[in-house]
Amino acid sequence: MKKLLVAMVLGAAVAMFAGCGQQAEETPVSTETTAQETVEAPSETAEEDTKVEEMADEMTFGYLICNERTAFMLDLIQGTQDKCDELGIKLIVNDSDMDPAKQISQAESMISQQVDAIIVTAADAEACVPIIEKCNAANIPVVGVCNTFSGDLQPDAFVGSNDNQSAELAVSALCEALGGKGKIGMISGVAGQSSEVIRGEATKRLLSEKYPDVELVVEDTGSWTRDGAMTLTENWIQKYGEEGLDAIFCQNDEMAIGTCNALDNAGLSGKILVSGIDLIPESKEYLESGKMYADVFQDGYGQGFKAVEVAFGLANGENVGGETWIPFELVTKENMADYFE
Amino acid sequence: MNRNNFSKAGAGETMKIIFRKYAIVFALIILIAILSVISDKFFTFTNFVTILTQTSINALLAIGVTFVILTGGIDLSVGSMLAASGVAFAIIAKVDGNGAALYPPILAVFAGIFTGVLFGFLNGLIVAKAKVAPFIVTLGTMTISRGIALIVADGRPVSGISSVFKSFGSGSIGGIPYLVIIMIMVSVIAIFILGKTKFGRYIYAVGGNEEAARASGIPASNVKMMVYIICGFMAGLSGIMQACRVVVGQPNAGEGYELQAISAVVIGGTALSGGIGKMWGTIVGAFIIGVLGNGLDLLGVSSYWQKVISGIIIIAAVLLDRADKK
Repeated sequence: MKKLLVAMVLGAAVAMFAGCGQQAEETPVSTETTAQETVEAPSETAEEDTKVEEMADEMTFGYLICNERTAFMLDLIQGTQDKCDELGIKLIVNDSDMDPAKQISQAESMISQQVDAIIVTAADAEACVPIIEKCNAANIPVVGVCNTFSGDLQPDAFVGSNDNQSAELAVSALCEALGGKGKIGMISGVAGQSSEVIRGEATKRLLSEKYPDVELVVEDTGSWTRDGAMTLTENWIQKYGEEGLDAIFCQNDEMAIGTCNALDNAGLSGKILVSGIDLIPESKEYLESGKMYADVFQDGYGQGFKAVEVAFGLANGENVGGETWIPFELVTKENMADYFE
Repeated sequence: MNRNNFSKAGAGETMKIIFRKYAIVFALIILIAILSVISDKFFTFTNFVTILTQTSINALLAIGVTFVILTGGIDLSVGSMLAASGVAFAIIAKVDGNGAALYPPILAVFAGIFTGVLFGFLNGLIVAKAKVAPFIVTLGTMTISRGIALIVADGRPVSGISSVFKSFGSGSIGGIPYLVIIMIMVSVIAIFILGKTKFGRYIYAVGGNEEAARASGIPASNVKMMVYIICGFMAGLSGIMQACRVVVGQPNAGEGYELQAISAVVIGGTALSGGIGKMWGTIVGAFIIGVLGNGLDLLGVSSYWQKVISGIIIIAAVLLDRADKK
């Protein structure tokens, strides 16, 4: 009933705006656009208003996600959502599009909506620290998930996977397959992002400590994208050929699949080994056909799920802080059946 | 440039004029020569095929953008339109569990092209009829089409494209990939349209002086509308080609492609103010970018430095062009 009333008031307002638009604008086309814009804007606020009221009785959690563009991030959201549904918690998800400033202002509006806990996958390890400060000041429990924060001020709890381990698993699988001796290339993600930095450093550390005879002959960025890695691999094939490169480690699966496609087109599938991280659904056929040698599963769903559990504990005053690590798992052709049902 | 120069000038002068007119072609040749000398992997047939394939998508986008820029406009939405088209295409090109196509392949191609054309039409309509600045309009459609691509694909890459398209994306006839053949065909058609048709002359007229063009009876707003539709068509076609190449419709594909396409146009000698430029220049410009990216990879130059170098080339190309005009 109330919704209807709001809608009617808004409708009247829109009509007024549209009227003003008509006077101001000369051409009929632009009037239409003005009218549409005004319709869109207020209806959003109407939805938010009603949301706030419905949520009065139960707990509400806010989830600040850095972006929702990858399958992995969607898994995180799904895990978070499912656990919230199970506990009967309302979940608000905000996507910051990798913009720390936007994420901070989203945190502010969640705080002013008085959510019971905030879960955050930081868009930037350093620039997002104010989110913790603001939550602390408002006395709202804050749980970091997946992406770490740098510096002394840490969220009340953290749930994630140790990214060092992901690269170690993916690279040692390649090194073992090569018998501890050979030449590998690495395709990295967007430079400077925490997962790119950690995965790159872990790879180099592992090679120097455990596999001194495996040489990292080339590394460059594929920007996490399939076409970026594909182009890079095509050029590497020209440069190194089959003899100059034994394996390529890609810091995520999108890039690993791009690499597999480039190798496949050049008839080098299985001759140059490929490993990736994430285990996206499409990797199945690549592992099955042997185009991809190994993959690493990061349990995004499990992280989101666990984060809500921890946040729920904190919101109820339990002492469940600290770090919870969800392990990475190596997936190859042999054990892939356990991961794809 | 100036016809009188040719008749008056001696043989040496004529050479000079030819050199200036085709400076960009010479630049490409010199670049190829240098790379062939420093890298023994560069000057091979397979590497040239690689470069041609990698350049095909940017070349098509740049061709579309050239039409727009020649009218004095700009199109920032091509990268996002490419993504939206790729997603639309991939959804229809999907196969079911048994590998059988859900819809006839031609429908998928139609969906991809139609998506591009639709956004191009919107761009054109708002620019030409509502007279909003092209920069603003296409900035808007850039995020709108990206958003729609993400919504439709639910944020995830759309996989499971029929094997027909996979073999189109990676296959070839006589060693020449299909993607390259399409690029060559489209290039020839685009050069023809711009150089030999009435519509081509209208584009130059509108870009040179819109009021004068209008006064002499040229349907300026229809011409403007048409160039955005062509640009959308090109983005749609490239979206399909990209999806076939990587065998997936990525909603986040093509980020930054608009700038790469504009770079090719600018390097190719087309003025951003409109009215001046050549289609072949754009194609050569796209190849300079493609050759450079491939060559620097072969030399092991990191992509951070590659960014610096491509920036310098864009600025240098414009300075060179300006020196030529004086």
